[in-house]
Amino acid sequence: MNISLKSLKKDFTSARGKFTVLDSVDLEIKEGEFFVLLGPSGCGKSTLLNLLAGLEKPSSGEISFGGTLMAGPGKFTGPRGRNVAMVFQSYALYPHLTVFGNIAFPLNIAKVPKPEIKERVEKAAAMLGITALLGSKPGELSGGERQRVAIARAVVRRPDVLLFDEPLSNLDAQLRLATRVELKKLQRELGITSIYVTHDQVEAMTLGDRVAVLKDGKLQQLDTPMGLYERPANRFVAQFIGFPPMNLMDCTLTEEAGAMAAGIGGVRLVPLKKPGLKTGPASIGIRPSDIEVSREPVPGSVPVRIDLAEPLGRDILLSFSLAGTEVSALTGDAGLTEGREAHARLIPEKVHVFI
Amino acid sequence: MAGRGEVVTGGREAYFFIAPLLLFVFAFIVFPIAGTFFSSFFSDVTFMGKKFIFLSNYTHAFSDPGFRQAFGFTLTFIAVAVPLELFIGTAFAVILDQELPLRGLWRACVLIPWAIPSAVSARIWQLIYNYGYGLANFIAVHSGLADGPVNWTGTASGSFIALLAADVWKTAPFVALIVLAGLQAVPSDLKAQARVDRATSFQVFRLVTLPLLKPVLTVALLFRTIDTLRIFDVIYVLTGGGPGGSTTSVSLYAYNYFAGGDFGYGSAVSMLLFMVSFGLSWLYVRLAGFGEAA
Repeated sequence: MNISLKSLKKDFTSARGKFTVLDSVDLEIKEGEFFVLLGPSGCGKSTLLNLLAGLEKPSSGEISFGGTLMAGPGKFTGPRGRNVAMVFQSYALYPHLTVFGNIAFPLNIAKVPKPEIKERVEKAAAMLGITALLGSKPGELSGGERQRVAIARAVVRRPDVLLFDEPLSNLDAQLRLATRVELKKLQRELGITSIYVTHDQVEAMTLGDRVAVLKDGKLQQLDTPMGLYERPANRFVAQFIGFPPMNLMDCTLTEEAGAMAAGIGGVRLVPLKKPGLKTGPASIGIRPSDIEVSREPVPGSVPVRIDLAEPLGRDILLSFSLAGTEVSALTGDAGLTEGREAHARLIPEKVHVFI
Repeated sequence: MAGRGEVVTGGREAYFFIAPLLLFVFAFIVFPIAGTFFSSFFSDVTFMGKKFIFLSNYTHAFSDPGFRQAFGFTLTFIAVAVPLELFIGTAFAVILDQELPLRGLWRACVLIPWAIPSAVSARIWQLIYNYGYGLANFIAVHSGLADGPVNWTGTASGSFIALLAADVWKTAPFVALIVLAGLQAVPSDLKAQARVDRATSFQVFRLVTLPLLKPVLTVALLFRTIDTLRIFDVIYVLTGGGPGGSTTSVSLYAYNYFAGGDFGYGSAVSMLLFMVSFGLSWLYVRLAGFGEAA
């Protein structure tokens, strides 16, 4: 089911005043898409998920599911009128019910006949490998098992939309990785439109067909994971996506004989080939992997002194000062040790300019 | 326990430190109970000789129609009042758990009846039930519920209802208080999950909230049962156990014997009440899981 959000806005009023948690968000989520909402805590991503679930009412704007208006001026359909399933960060398993009872809960509410409930619960449990746990209570399960029960309960309903609220954040690193892969496979298999909230850019990149980056209730950028990585729309997205994070440098754009270049304090750093740039102050961004560090000077390089060399395994993360700005760069040259003089060159094609 | 030996072997010092409390417990709890237990084996009426009769007071109690009446009344009152208190208390707790303006004020208001001493509130109810100028009759007559004024405390059923209203009014807030604490311990995620699972508000309450309240309700049930078992003050003030002993509770029955100078029989009745209370308290401690290693 495709989902459409138009100028969606949500305010909260508390004793300390009125807060805008979501500000005019416009989104189109496609049928069967794995859509990720990415942002730091407090960016409004969980509120957006609650609005989609129908747990909260928008202050203004519209939400439509498959062309049907769910929330808008004078209209609001609660969770009962939407076929939406949700997996909470806490898993929200009913502690007094067995695993079977938990998975069967939405079916019991929907008054599905008992034999069919049994069949569907067993099928969902088999799909997630938790058949042996059906008789257990949630209190007896590990974090990973609870997670699976929560997912089984969400998919057993055959919902139109699946919502995930940071479902992997309570798992340990290894389990998180394995579950991430499984989740993606499961979503592909079922083909249910899924919206996944996370603050982890790696999760967002690996899971999402498309990722919407939110900050302070505003949509920063909506693109494919590689699109976000290669064409960040602003400084926030540039630094939020990718690890190690992109270097940002405040610099001045100058023009010499019709060619633009970026420099800091008289040091010419890199020529810029992007059209439509104007001279003046700006920020340039470059990923650590797009700075070439060599022992000998090369055309366009700037001399630097390496402050720190951190081995990451395949690469070494170097930190040094480039015309007064701390930057990091990746190199494969183990000879570039701390305290060494070297030469850094920014690959002009990989430079991002933010005005 | 190496290195902490001095502390551990200081058992005698420990007793010294808890001695004031032990003294208090012995003087005001153990000694009176033992004394009452001891007295219950005697025929001990003021101005008459004290005589050891062993269990005769107890055997008499089981065939004493007055005691049976009091015991039956107490059980009936528990059976009617406690469920009513739980129901009304829970209903108030659910209301107070909502996002209401001035929530703190409403909570305080609901708790007022619990804070008023029983004897005082019983006096107020006495005014309400007054035959000539009481509010109860004013409402009953003017609303057309009754043809004429009702003699509330003059009939057995009228007295029962009068006591029931006074007792439930006073104790439902207590239930509301502990159920409210229980309600606030129910994770909001679970309720949101149930709503996403398309449950109605009533289904969320019945299928999620209520089962999670079970331990709290059990505690409330036992507390109220034990408390109602020894009901005294409201009855003493409002009906005096009448008419014709129809609203005499076991406590009041024992009290009447003490007041009449029959310490032996009064003690035996008190001991029977104590044993039932003790059994229920023990059940409560078991069910609430006190003393179990976490």
